[in-house]
Amino acid sequence: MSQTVSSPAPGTRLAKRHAPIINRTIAIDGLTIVADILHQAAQRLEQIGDDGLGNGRPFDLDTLWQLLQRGRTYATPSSWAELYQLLNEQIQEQITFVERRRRGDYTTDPYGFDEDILARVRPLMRFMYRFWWRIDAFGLENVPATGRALLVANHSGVLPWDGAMIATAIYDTHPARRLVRNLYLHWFNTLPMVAPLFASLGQVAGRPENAVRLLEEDEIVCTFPEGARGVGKRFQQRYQLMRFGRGGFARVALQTGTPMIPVAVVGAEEAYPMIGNAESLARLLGLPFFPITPFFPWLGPVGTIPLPTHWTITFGEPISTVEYGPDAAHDPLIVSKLSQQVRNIIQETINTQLAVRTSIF
Amino acid sequence: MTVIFIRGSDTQLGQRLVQACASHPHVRLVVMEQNLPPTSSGEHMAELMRQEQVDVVINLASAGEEAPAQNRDQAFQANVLHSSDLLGACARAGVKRIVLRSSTLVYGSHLKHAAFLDEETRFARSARSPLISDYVEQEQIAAEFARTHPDQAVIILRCASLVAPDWPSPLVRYFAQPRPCMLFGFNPRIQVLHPDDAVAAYLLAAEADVSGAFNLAANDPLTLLQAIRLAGRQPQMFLEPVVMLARRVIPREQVLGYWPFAMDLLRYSCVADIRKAQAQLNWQPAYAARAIVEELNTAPAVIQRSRV
Repeated sequence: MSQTVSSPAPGTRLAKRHAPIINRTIAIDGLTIVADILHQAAQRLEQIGDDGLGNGRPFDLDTLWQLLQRGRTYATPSSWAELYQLLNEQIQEQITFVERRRRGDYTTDPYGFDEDILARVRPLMRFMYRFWWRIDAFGLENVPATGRALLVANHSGVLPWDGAMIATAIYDTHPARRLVRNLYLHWFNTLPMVAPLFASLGQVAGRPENAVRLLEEDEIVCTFPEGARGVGKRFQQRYQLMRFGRGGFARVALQTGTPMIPVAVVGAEEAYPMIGNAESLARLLGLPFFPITPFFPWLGPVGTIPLPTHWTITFGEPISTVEYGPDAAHDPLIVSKLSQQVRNIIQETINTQLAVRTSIF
Repeated sequence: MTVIFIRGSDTQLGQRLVQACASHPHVRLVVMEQNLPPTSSGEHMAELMRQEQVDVVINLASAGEEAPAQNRDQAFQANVLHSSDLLGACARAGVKRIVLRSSTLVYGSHLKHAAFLDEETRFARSARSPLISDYVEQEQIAAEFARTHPDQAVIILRCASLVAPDWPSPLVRYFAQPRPCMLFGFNPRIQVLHPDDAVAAYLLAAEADVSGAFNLAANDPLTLLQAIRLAGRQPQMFLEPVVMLARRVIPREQVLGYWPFAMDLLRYSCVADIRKAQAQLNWQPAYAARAIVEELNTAPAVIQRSRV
């Protein structure tokens, strides 16, 4: 079917103008990519049943998978009754959930983190992690099971999906299943819906005071020192680290004696290939940048769907800061040395991962 | 024996403080009511303090907190000018320790504010409600006084909104509405404080060897949405651009209903860090925020009619 579409039969006007061989290669390449994605997705789908992480959240992938499994025996009346009961239970569960929320009967932590909301968003995050981007996480053993740690990562991909995926990697595949506190650009707090959503997912505005407080409470904090410069860079500049802010993250790590863990994310750059930046439009709308990708804004909301590239997330070995002492936070030379050291490790890890990568999908 | 002079002893907080002091055997009280007769000037207060050999002065007089202000001029008179007079009287009488009341909302709302604001945070130049701008001005006067009178300790207790059933504070009035307002898409964190905890802090501040500002609030801030729901209400959501447009023509209260603070505080959080008070005043809030707000749930809804 696809062959007839992409390489028309000889004799048509199209085939005379273009070499059919090119059309065929593109079609075959495209098919291989799609087949590859489906194959990898199918492999993940098989893993999900027995990895012990899917603990029956309503309407998540596991439930869907169970329903699909049962699909073979739907023909009998008893399985229809079973299905009805299952759906009924799900609906009841939703109703009690909404009632409980309306009573205010839930807990948020002092930063506004709301476990209920995270549980609702987690299925989407797991879907993106396992099926969409088929992420491989390396070096998870470098992330401590207890105590403070500062993850320092490269930022890419227009929308901050990388932060969500680093958090998912640790929440879903690290044995300690810890919550990662991403530090986000405080500009997001001006956006309706986004500000409360970020807060309820345990994210905190990127102020040094917030990072210090969280680390003193022995949490895992993740920061992207490139900030908006990282996510807003053009496709030509992919995998070239931008300036690492003013090294504030190193100062915070020194002040609190926190080990810094360099994190390299590869694959997110191609999720939204940003071919242009409409700066005047960005200024008009008050955005840090206005991305133009092959699909956005031309396709509207559909254009915001990221490409299903294949990602790797590599957690490097922790860099200890405790031996410098908290006073070193006021020494600009130590701060810039550490900042540079972390930046170099991330860039090297990215280069290594790029070298072993065979396809972006 | 410590002699404590309380100005504003007839206010709600003043009455509780007087009761609490009564159980202290080594405290002698000198009290003055909030609404002074016109004849009583700063000199009169200084004379009284000298006669009674007052050690500590606590100023609780504020118009617009528990008792609504009659008008703006009178509120400014009570909050700023009388506080200034009081400080002058303390200087005259050589009072060692002065404790003032302020609010955690003096920090204002700012996009770049940290999640927890410590006492060193600069006050944001945001819009302020009249009461909060009075507090800011009073704090500026107090800071200037502390600079020029180094041997007199000035303590400023920045209290989060006092909340308890039967307590007539602005935030309680907000929660008493059938549908308290919120801005769609925003859910700031808020802090509350139980009056008993505030009283405990005033007693500690009267005796502790400290000076400067202290934040007071109950443990664990709540999100506004959860607080409204715990108080037994459901919020009414407003679209911010619509409110901004409508309030140019109609008074804000007719658009939004009652919201005692600046509009920005419906968008951004202003949450204070209480660790300094815990460490230096040895103060611990006995009531958690959630328990304080839940107590309001038992109180019936009062339909507020806005007056222009």
